[in-house]
Amino acid sequence: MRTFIYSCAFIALGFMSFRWICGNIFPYQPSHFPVPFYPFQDNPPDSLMVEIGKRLFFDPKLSANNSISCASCHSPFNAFAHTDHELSHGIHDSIGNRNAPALFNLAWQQSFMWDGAINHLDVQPLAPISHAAEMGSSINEVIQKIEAITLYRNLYFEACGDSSISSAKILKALAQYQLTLVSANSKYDRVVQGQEKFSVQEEKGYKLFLKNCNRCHTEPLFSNFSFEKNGLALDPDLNDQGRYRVTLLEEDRMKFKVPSLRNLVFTYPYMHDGRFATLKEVIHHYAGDFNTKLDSSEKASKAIILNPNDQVDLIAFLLTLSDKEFVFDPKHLLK
Amino acid sequence: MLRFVIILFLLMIDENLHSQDLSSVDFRITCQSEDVLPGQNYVIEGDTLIFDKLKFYITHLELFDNDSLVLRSDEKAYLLDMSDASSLRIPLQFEGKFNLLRFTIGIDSLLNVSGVLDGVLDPTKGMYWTWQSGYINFKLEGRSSNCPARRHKFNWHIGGYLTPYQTQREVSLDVKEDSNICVVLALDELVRRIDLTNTYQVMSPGEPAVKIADDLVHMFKTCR
Repeated sequence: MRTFIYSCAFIALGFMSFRWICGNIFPYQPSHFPVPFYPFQDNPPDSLMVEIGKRLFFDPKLSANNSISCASCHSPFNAFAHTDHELSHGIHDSIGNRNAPALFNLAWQQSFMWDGAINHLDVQPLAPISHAAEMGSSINEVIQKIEAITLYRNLYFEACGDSSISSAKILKALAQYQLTLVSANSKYDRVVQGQEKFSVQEEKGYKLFLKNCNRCHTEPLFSNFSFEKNGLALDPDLNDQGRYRVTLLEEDRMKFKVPSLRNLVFTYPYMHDGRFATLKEVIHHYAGDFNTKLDSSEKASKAIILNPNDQVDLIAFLLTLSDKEFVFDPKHLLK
Repeated sequence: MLRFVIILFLLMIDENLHSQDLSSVDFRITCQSEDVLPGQNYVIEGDTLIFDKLKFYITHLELFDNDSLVLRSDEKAYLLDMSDASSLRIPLQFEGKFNLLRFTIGIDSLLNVSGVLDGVLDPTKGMYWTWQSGYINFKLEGRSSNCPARRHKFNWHIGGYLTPYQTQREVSLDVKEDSNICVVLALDELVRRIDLTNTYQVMSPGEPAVKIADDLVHMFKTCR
């Protein structure tokens, strides 16, 4: 009997701590999403830190010549992507190597960038801050500039009880703001929560999606965040080998991280180098070239068979992943 | 009463016979048995070398007495820097017997995936890669007359925590009980093992970094 009571108490305690870490502590958890990956216990959500992070995200002082902010390439009105730009832009009109990815639902991602080179959301900003073709600065230089701004010192004093500036304080604030960018209110979300219904065409598209796309673009996040070969030919100018650069494993050559399909109306052009301007071209690639590049052993499980009618239906479904409430949410903007 | 005094006396003698308690582990950076000075010339097998910068992490510092662990340092990591003499002395208090010192060169994979850390692990210390997450475990920069690069410069930034290119290396040294353990880093031992005509720019994880990481182990010795 005693063992039973102890084990009940143990399970209850375990459940409570689980709720504390994964549930209550993250105020933006959608009920139909899985448990987030981000270690909130190391950076507990705090509204003041979110405010500081937001200010930093929109602050061009993070770049060497005070011209480029995070929001320059991750615009809130485009689901935090760089719409209409194939490759990211940086200081002195420089052009980067990859398409700026949309930023949302980052708490569920284990690695960042198209090749997963960054292993933690907190250290992600170090890459664009230091990249010569992006912000061209360094974390040390950013600390110096932020230290000189009274507003930041006051805000940090309010949030942390002391006004000193450190890399951890800057990076954790940026992470806190980015973690609030949760997109979970598209028509798809309302349908799975029983509040709305798909049209006949959307329903057809959804079935096609589950059969052909869900293996990698797994709902409800619409990515399993794995690295996959998608049959795109190497761009000889960029010579981007994808995941291979990080792992140096032959099997990872030309593999890129599966991006989420949410908000894709806002995030064109598509693919890691922005080579496709329209969704139609993307689907055309998967229904065509993608299959021809599959090994014979992969064909049965991976081939994507979509006739032109199917393609139209699939697009109708994909459009239900647009989350206007997220894209136009004023709480993401500086007051 | 007399018996008590004798015991006390014997204890005091024992205390005096027992060697002094350990207070630190001191690292000496040498080349051909001389302490290295930044900017000074050293001739090794016909190659003239200058060492400009040397920084590296020591972690998992442990003391053993005949295979049983007697002390484990609480510090996550120590950052040793040739240009900062105080960083080369690691305070380590211990009373008792020991005969082996063990430590790891570099940062383990757990700390490499732990986000932004402070102290010596702060990314502001110049030992964290920005384009790809991960610490530089060992950084040696200098000039060599054999080196074909611009201004004969060589840069070895050794890091990488993902298998099979992980570069952390364990070092075990037999040591004598003393108040200070003295460890030598013989840079000439390292340089002799690496062909500077080819291997002069290693600044990312991979095969060349793994090869240098293997070589690092051989330059750590106890002082004579």
